[in-house]
Amino acid sequence: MQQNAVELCTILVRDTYGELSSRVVAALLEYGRSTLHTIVRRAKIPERVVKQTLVVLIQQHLVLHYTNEDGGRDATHYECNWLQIYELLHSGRMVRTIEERFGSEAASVISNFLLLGHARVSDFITAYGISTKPKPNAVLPNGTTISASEATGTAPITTAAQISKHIITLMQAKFLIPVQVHHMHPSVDTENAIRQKVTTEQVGTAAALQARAKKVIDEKVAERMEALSSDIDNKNFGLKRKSDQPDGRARKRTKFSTSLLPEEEEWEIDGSIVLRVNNAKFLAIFRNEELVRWAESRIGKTTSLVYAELLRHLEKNIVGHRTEKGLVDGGKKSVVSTLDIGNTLRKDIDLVNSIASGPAITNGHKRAMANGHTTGANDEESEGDSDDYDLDADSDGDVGMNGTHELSSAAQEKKEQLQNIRKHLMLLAEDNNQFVTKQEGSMQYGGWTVDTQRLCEALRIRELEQIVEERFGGIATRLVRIIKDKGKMDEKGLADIALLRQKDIRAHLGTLHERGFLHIQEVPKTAERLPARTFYFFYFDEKMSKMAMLNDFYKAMSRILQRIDHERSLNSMLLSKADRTDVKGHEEELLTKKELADLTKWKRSEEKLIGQLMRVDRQVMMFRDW
Amino acid sequence: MAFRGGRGGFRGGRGGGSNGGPMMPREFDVKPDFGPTEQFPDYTIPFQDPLTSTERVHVARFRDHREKVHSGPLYTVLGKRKGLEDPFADVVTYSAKKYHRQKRKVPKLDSRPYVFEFFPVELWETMDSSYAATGDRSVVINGRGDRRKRLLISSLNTDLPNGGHHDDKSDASDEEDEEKEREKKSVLAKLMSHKDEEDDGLGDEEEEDGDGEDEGEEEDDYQDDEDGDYNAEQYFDDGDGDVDYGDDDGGGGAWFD
Repeated sequence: MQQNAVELCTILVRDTYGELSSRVVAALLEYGRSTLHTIVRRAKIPERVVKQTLVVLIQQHLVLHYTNEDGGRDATHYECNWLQIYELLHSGRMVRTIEERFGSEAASVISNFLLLGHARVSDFITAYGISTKPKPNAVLPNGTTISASEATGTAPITTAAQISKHIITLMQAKFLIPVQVHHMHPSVDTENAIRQKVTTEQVGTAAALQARAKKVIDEKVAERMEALSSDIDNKNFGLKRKSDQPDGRARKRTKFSTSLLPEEEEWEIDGSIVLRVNNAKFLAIFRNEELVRWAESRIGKTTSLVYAELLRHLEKNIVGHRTEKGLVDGGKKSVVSTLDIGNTLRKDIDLVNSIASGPAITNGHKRAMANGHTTGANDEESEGDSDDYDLDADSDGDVGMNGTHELSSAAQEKKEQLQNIRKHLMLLAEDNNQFVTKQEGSMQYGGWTVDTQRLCEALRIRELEQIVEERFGGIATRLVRIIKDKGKMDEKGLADIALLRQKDIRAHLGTLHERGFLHIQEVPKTAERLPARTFYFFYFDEKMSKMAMLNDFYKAMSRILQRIDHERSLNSMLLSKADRTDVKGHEEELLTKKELADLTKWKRSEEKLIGQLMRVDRQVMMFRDW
Repeated sequence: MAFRGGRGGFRGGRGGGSNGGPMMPREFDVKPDFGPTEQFPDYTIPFQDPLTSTERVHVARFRDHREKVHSGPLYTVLGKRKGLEDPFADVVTYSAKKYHRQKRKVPKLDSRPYVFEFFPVELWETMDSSYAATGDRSVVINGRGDRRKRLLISSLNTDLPNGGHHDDKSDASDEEDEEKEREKKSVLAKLMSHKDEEDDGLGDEEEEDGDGEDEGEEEDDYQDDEDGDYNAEQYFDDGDGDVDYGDDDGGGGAWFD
């Protein structure tokens, strides 16, 4: 873990959970895994307080622990889960994502789970009914009254049934996942424990072949680790069927059906399980949002909306496991059919008028808007498709758009819509980046898959080149691209390919090397290793440059947070006044004009800084998680 | 921002060819400059693109969430060490005690139920004081049926404080709303109605409800905040309510030495 990341995490924890927590976290991050007494010594905080703080941190999953149970006495070790600390930054975005998809009620459930860390469902539900009361006329801190249209939910949650319905929905979508004991332990410890167990089991049987036994053990360990995580993959893990359902059939149906709606009534939540927010799933969603934005900049708004719908279908199956390599979506590649997209796509999206059809082969020079019934468009579509497709095209050609079109049946409209969706998807598939891949097969109108890993790789390269361009200029970008393309190169060869003089590129290469984007390998020509008689090969190592960049990002983020702190201390008098319980919500009346102006200014500048934080965060996710 | 200030490196850094280019030792095209480097070199300051509305919403939600954690039981603020307080600035004033949010020195843990099996045994006693090391584990795990603790649930701020489209336009409308409000409630009435506050959000809301009923009773005209800044009545009016602040951090004071 990098030093800058340590700094960032410490600041983040201080920002969110206060100084005490950040000191314990700092001690843990700086020295690594420690026992309670070591933490006490290093953080210079009394044991009682350290214990309390550890409870907070474990509750929030920021610290993992493991107790070695064999041997004379138990020793509990604590370890900081710094990726989880980083997730504190995403809290706002997570709540917002849920709000957009499931409404504000579900968002409040997520928000509460974020606040609580993890919670037993039964506790959660009982608490919910009591502490949330409908607010008759809520006035926000800045004085805005809530308009009825803004509040998306109709009625605030009052009954346990409502709240558990929300929880079930979120669980099935894997935004909430059950916590198991092994989630609280560092994965290394879990693996070691399993390995130990497997080894003792194996000892009797395969002791003869040491090497083979080792391999067998490794396999078994991997298997069991898999088994631990696969529990969560099961869609209805933690939910139980209502008793009246026959066992086998219901399970089968959930496996194969695509829509969730009919099953919602059949499931009830197991009150004894403990839930938490699934951060990895959110990461996958953020990634998809980024892909959509990219598609929008490459192709266009409407196409990106179709793409978003497609990705949303894929998301359903994503649980998201976070590994060292990044995000693993889990399970096999799933195919989404055009039909599925058609079923859920918003109807008000203008699919038709957003594509200008290219000059078709039949009427070469004419460039017309594809209205779904021009012959050009039909020619394009009809290639390699089923019979009803052609039929549809014919009838369309006869009827025309503004004639009896409105009278045509719903099926007709549906067909048209699917064709248009297909066109958009083809655009996506034919793009250089190949946003989707077409699956030839049984599905009507075709099925589609998305190779996210490859796309994210392309996204990373694009971002990297942009950063190099921004920081070092066009020539540097050219050099980086050449080196990436050609592998290891010396200065002379580079100059030849880049069509530049050697002395022009030297300064750029030096800077790029200094900042960790390029690396040098020295190959001496003679045994003496004289600098003058040595080849210097420049090469690009993605992993190392990624690390260098992440380091920069972390540093930038900690500086932003420190800047916010500093700005806050400059305004501390004003802020403590505005924070008074009697002033809060009545700023307009109780603060002077100047104070109000200052307050607004402070809020704006904090917003800007946090906004910048989020932007850097996007890049961090791109290079680290996706 | 973070991109300045590099680490020294590649043979003298920028310019790199002071001992001859690696391949062409004869060519000294870059003159080494041994003078001190400029302390504040020219630097084009990057400007931030204005935040998009989505970003603003995310930021608003982030601040919301942070604010909730801060008002929750887990947030801690370490005070100054004993003996290091500023005798002038850090005096505990009446208003500071009454109106400022109570700062915790240690997190408040006993307010909620825990899932004990997820915590190491050595912390159990901290989480629930009734559990002693020699005690019966099952009591803790299963919970004592008689007095169950409740989780603290906060409701979501359904509106976005400055999200979406906050611009001069919406600001103006805010002001209008505020004007209307001001007509209804006078400052004094406000202050009077805020008798004893509790420091959790729940109490606040209930107070607000109370406000709605007695609004308009006292129509005193204190609208010009500027010159009516000091008003003895405002400050020392409602000292009658006795509030207990001794939350739980009474014992937490002495551990810094």
